[in-house]
Amino acid sequence: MGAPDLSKPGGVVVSKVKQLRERGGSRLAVCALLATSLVATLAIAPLVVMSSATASQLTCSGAPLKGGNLVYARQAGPVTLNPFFPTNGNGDIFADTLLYQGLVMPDPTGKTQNIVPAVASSWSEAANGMSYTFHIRPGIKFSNGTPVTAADVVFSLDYFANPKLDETAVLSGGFKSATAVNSSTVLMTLTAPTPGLIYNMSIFDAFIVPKALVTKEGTKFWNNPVGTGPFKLSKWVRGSSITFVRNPNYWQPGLPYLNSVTYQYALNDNTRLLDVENNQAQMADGIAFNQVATVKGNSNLTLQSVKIPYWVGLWMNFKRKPFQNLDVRKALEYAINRPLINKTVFDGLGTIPNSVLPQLKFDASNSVVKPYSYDLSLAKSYMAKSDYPKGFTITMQYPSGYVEYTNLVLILQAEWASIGVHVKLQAEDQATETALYMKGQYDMTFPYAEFTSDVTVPEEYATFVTTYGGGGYSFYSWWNDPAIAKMVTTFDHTASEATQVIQWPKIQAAMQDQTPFINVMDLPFLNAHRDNVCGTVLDPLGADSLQYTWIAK
Amino acid sequence: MGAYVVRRIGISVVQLLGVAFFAFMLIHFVPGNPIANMLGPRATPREIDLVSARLGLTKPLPQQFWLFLVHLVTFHFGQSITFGQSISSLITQRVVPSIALISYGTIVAIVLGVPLAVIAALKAETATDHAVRVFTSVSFAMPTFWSGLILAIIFGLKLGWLPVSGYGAGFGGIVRSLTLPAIALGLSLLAVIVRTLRSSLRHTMALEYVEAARARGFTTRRVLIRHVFRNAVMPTVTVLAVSVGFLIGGTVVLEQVFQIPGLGTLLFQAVEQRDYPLVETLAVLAGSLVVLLNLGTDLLQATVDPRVRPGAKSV
Repeated sequence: MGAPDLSKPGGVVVSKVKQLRERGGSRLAVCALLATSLVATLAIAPLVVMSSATASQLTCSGAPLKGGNLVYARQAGPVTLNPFFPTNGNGDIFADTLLYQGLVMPDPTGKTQNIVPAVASSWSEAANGMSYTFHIRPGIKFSNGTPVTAADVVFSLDYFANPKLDETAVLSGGFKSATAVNSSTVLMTLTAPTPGLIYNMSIFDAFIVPKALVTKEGTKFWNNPVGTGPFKLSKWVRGSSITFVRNPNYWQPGLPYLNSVTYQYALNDNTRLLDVENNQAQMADGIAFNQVATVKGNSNLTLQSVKIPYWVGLWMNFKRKPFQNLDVRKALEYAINRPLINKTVFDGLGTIPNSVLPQLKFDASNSVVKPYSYDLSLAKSYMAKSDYPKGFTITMQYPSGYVEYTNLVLILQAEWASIGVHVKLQAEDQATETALYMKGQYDMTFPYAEFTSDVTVPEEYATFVTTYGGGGYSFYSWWNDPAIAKMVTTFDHTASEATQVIQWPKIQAAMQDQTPFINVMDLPFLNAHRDNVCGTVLDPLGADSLQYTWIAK
Repeated sequence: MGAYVVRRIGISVVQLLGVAFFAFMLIHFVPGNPIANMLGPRATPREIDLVSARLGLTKPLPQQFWLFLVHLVTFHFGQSITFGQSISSLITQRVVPSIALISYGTIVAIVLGVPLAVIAALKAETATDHAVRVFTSVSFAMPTFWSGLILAIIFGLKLGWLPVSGYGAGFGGIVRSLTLPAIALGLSLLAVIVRTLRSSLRHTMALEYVEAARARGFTTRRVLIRHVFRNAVMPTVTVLAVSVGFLIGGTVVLEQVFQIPGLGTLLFQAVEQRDYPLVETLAVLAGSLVVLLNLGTDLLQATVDPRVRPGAKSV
């Protein structure tokens, strides 16, 4: 009887089973041994599992190759393909981005924060900023082969502005009407100059859909929709996966490269990473910061870190007295050791912000608006001259189930204790946290674990956080600064972008000085993909049309 | 016997009403608003109120509860707030993977557990028995999400024998994709089977009729299978029926880890989004399954063993 072959999987077990049989052991005993071995393997596995990297390295050099089927493990899948009424956030939006396009779109290369032509090949803005004229791209068709007409565009823009049909109709502020000038030209009029409107039209809420089909099919249209995006729907297994195939009528010649794309939903971070490590998927989104080292350590995988307006926004409730005191707010800011947080929590991938809002177009550089440095003595001096020199105690709500938040709040708790601010931590699931936030039942809270902007320009967030009336209470912070609100209103309705570029840094600096919110860190979107997946670019909002993506062979 | 059946069914109806009541109240009293979740950060309070009214969420709670009961009784469970689909169709789409996983997990637990229980009973108070006890304790103590991930790493990622996640197509594909989660689920149930069956076997083996069978010169195998096992297995069947609730709970986690599109994943999403009608329906269905299985087990026991019927005199 030879020694067990330890180099082979299960070598010891096989050997033991042989021994048992040779000694006349019963089948029951063999079963028991196998079962025991299984549990023992599970118990010790974490100690012995090491990463392996054996697949051949394929490069993305050379011309893109056409063909191939991509499986993309995504943390959320679509619940509806109605872009006007998304109910599952990015799960819906990222699927919509493959199917539809608006008149304009965010730069799909992600190189700029600009908008570029899509269904409209060009557009012009009236000198007074009160109207836009859009010229529909000649020959553009929906994925079912029918041409896109001005009637389709007018119908879609009316949808965009109708709060009963469009969940995000709030983004259509400034829209007055859309009319067809001729079959390929649309005139859009505004109630007031609103340069942010066209950026709001670059996203899901103003995608162009075929009037005739939507009218005929009603809500059934969204089960098998058509659009002008690079892909069209092939198969949708709700709750499990959705498959898209190349749109043969796509207006960009030669694109997309892939034959098909399948989104597989995997809520669990580890499952998504396992999928891509095992090549069951070739791309995975939502890589957690504590998984970065694993991805970097696997020679078959590439980590994709994309800068988008994504931030760790920490809210202070202005109904609670300590936060009404500017010295207190400044003390809190100066007592945050952001370099340490970035290193230990975000694997050094974050950016220390110089704005209380996420990184947006028109933001001034650090030399113009300075980030808060970590300065404990300055923080203590602000506390000393505040109304609370002896400090105070608050409760901080944070989203449960996120390792990075768990680590972050512990660091904040320790740091603020040194200036006399004692933090009680309270983990809540996202729905509870949002509900408490909207009711104002919090001292400090992170309202959304994954907090991003819909658009690249500042109008949306700046308006939300400064609009006290209408029940929004400055995004439920109860902060009210009429002077800054007035600056934002002026900015929102300034027709000239050249003027806006000058206006915004002043608003950014004023907010940074008043610090009504704490932007703990600007973060990137993290994806991982197999090394042979090429052309993986995200637009400046983190959406991925996959039109440039190809697979090296 | 007839009176016992009627009384037992009556108790089950009360239990079902209790399950429905608690499922309804619990989700309504948990903080969180399905409409606010659905509409996201841009929604104004007015928009939230409008959509809430349209979906009937502003009606008084007793009225909502009554409508919920009517929906349950008529098997028209209404619409999911999040998915915008009828709840019946959502459940139809998702029920098969969950049943398959629970069944497969139970089979794994039985295939592993019965031999271990028999060995432990035959070798009671020996090193083998202690080893089995340690083994089942470890398997019971391992959270399913953890053992599931470790199984996926070993048998999926390292050895490449089985998929690390997903739900395959066709019978072979389904079996392959469910093998690892079923083992994780089966391991969590193992201790219950092994401990119950071992104890029952030990008790039965000490009875006089078993001694008599041995004295007649029957082999150990024959005594075990024909005389001991049949009489000892009933408590384990009862425990297994009671464990269905535990298994359903286990699938909620495992379906997440292995991205299986079953009812567990659906329930998780529904709770996360505070999709009241969907959470309530799924909770009541799961509760009903447990209540009905318990009812079936009790009635079966009363049928085969008159001693458990009310009024029966113990000998």
